[in-house]
Amino acid sequence: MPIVVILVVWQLLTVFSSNIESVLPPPADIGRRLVEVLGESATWLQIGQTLEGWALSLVVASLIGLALGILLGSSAIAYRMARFVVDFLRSVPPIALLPVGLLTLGAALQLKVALATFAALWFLLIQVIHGIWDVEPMMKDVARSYHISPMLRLTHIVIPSVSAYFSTGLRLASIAALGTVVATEFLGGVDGMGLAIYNAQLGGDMSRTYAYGIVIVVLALVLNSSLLAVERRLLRWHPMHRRAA
Amino acid sequence: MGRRLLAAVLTLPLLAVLVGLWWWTAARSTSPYYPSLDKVWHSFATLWLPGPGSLLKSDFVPSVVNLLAGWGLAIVVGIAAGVLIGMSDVLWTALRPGIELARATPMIVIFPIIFVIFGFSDWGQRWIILIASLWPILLNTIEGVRSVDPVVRDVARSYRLNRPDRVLFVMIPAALPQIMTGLRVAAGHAVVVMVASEYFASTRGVGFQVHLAMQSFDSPATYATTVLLGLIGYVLSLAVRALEHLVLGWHIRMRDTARARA
Repeated sequence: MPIVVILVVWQLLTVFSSNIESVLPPPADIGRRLVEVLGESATWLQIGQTLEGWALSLVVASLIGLALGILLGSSAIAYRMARFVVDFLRSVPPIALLPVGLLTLGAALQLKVALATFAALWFLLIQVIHGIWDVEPMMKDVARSYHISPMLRLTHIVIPSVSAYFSTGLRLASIAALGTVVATEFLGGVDGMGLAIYNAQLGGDMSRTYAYGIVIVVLALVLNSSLLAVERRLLRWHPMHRRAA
Repeated sequence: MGRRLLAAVLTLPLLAVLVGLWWWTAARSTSPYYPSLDKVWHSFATLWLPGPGSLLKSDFVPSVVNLLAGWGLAIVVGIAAGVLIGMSDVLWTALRPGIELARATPMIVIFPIIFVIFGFSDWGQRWIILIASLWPILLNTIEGVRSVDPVVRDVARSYRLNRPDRVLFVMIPAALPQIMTGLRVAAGHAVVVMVASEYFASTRGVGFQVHLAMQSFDSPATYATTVLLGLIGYVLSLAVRALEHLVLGWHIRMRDTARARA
């Protein structure tokens, strides 16, 4: 309801003042442009390119995050040795690596994946470490006294306990990865939705810029909610989601 | 002190291995895009340490001023708006979808719009930094205020504290741990957006210099400036942590005693 009011006021505003149009095109124009943009096959190709970068970087970041997280979570000495390096790298703005990445990797898919992996990794790593720390001490003792093999301990005790932490990390990592992929495309000139919006604003086509912006926002929302849906389904057994069922 | 020393000693090996690896592979590399560490260090010293030809005053200072201005304004606006929204169920229900939407939006989307309005100015940079760092502070403040113990609220009301006192001495302190989390996340966003906006549209700043160095294929300067950007991010995160200890000292001590008792 408030949205309708805003749209009507917005539309009226652009009718009465023409110089606002260069910044804020009338919603009807944006709507028409959005339909037009969604009808172009190029848009769907660009959405695919952005999604490709997002998905690959999440896979790579998950693998590294799990491997390093299990190592750092299970060994106190390894954790203390790596802590400073992790803290430092975690606070490095991922997009700051863009110029070095452009020089060494070029404006291609690898660049997106490298930067987005760097952005996403820390959420996963830290969640996995905390997940391992949070394994019920009683479970560990039971496993030890029954002489359960390390492999079984991993699959039946550690992984279930870590999975809830991991999926929270994955949702945060997904937002960071998508943001970094789009920013890399926008600033680094790599094919995808980021470059599409860059070209639209470069050409001074504001309604097209807004239309692409809406596509990106919707994409972000869809990814968020589908990850949450997958999490709810896979972690049905977890106390965190049990109440909802 | 002993524990800090131990931490430092434990940190050194990995750090030495990583820097050593970089130094060794770069010295051996013939690629012009992977310069030796000596060259990078030399470039860093010329560009970013005080001396003739240093860019500290012309680029580093404006970057940091814009960063702190945008982030600082976001703190003020975020806490004020967050307390207001958090204390009113009507406002929260009405604004929630909008705020959640804004949080999930990749911030690069707003770049073209902000720059059409403000052009290539310091205020354009500050606005972008302000907007990008606003959402974590706003959401954490709202959540912090909404989860204040109802008993605490009732006590404040039954002692007839007036509204400003209730906000200042009850709500904000109770929500402070969560607000500080917001500040920390926001600081990370602020640095990223500072770099990106200077890279995209600016004629000065550290982000602009790294773009310039890359465009002129000056790889030592590109690496050196990237290191500086990393240091800015790290120092800001240390500063936020120090601030956290300063304002939340009481909370951390309380939590630790509670844990020790449990």
